[in-house]
Amino acid sequence: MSVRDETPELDLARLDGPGRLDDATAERLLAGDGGDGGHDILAAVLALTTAPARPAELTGEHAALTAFRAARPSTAARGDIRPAVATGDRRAVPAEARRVRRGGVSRLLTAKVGAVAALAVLGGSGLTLAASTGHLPGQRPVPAPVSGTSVRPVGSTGPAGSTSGRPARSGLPGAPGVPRGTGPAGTPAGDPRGQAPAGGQPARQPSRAPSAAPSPKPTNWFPTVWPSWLPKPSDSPPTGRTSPTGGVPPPRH
Amino acid sequence: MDGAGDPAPDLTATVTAAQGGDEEAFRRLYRLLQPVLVRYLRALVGSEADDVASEAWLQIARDLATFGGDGDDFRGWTATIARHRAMDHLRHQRRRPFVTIPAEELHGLAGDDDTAAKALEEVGTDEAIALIASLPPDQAEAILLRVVMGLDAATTGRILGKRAGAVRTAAYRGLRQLARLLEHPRDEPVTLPGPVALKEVR
Repeated sequence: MSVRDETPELDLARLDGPGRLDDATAERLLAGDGGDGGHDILAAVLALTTAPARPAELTGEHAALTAFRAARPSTAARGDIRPAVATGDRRAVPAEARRVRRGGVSRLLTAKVGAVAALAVLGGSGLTLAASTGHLPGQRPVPAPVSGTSVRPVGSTGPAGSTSGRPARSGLPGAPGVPRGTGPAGTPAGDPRGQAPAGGQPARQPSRAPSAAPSPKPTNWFPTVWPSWLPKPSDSPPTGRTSPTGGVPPPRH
Repeated sequence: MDGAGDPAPDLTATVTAAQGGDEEAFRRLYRLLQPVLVRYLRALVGSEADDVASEAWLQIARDLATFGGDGDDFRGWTATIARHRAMDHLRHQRRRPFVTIPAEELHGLAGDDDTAAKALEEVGTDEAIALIASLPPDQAEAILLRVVMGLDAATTGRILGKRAGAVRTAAYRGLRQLARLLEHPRDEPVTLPGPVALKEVR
């Protein structure tokens, strides 16, 4: 790859006066064979249009390669996906590639989770208890996290998390973006950070906190004011914890 | 050499490899064809050429598996996609194709030879493209597809919806006009766009 930054210049020494441009000469010039003399300036100008690529002309390479990978699931799965990540073109980055961003995205998600937990504490609602116990309304207490099981979104937030949790198939523009504030929903199973208490299904954010302070207090409680974004107890089947029962099927790997 | 230096290296094997999932092959195709596509597009949509080229590459990547043909066909295929994206873009913007250069911004070369030489000193790839783009649209496009994209008259005709003979005629006419502008500036006052004016249309 020879990329030149400078623009090639005309050789002014070759300025000379040609005769009329006949069809044969024109055809030669169009075919890139202008060495016949007589129309050197014209030939030089035409040659400029096919000058070597300049870096500024190749800035879309990452995006193009990302689209190439996205169109080919096999290469998306085994190829080097770092260039795709570097583009920042989220639309075209397949889920596989997005995982590599884990560093940045998960930091962001962690911050969001922290913020939600903090709000819950400050609010003094029952959510605080949920956060600290890992239990949420309508669910039986579960003593221990299930290893290797990532918390999955249930109900309204399902699609985002479930899509990003499985390998990209046809990523391109249709692929949904990174899950919006769904905490560990987008974390692939097997990622240690994805191992949250299995009981934390309806609300993912609070349930992340308990890993630090698991309390065995098994109580049934209900907040006095039900947060609108939380599924009602009836929406959440009591058995839906580590299995997909009643929820979104787990990502296939 | 990668890039636009050689207008028509054989791409057949590279295209086949890319269709088989070879990412490096696709990268080579990009590096070979993107510069020429974006130069062609610059004549159609001016400063939006980079964006339109990006759109074209998304489609090229997506539809690569459906392409059938050799390396030359692939050139024509990519040019067709780029042209369609450009036309969509113009339709969306309700603009007419091709960059127009305000007459008052054109630099005349009607002076002595020193003036002509001075103007040509500044000429680079972008200026050369803009100079061609200042021709009547059918002539400009015929020249750019043939010279920049390295297509033959028949392929160019298919892209433009014309017969090969019509493409040749338009391209020859355009070249003669360019030759007049470049080689006999005294006969054609106020016609050659100067570098300063051309910066406006990059």
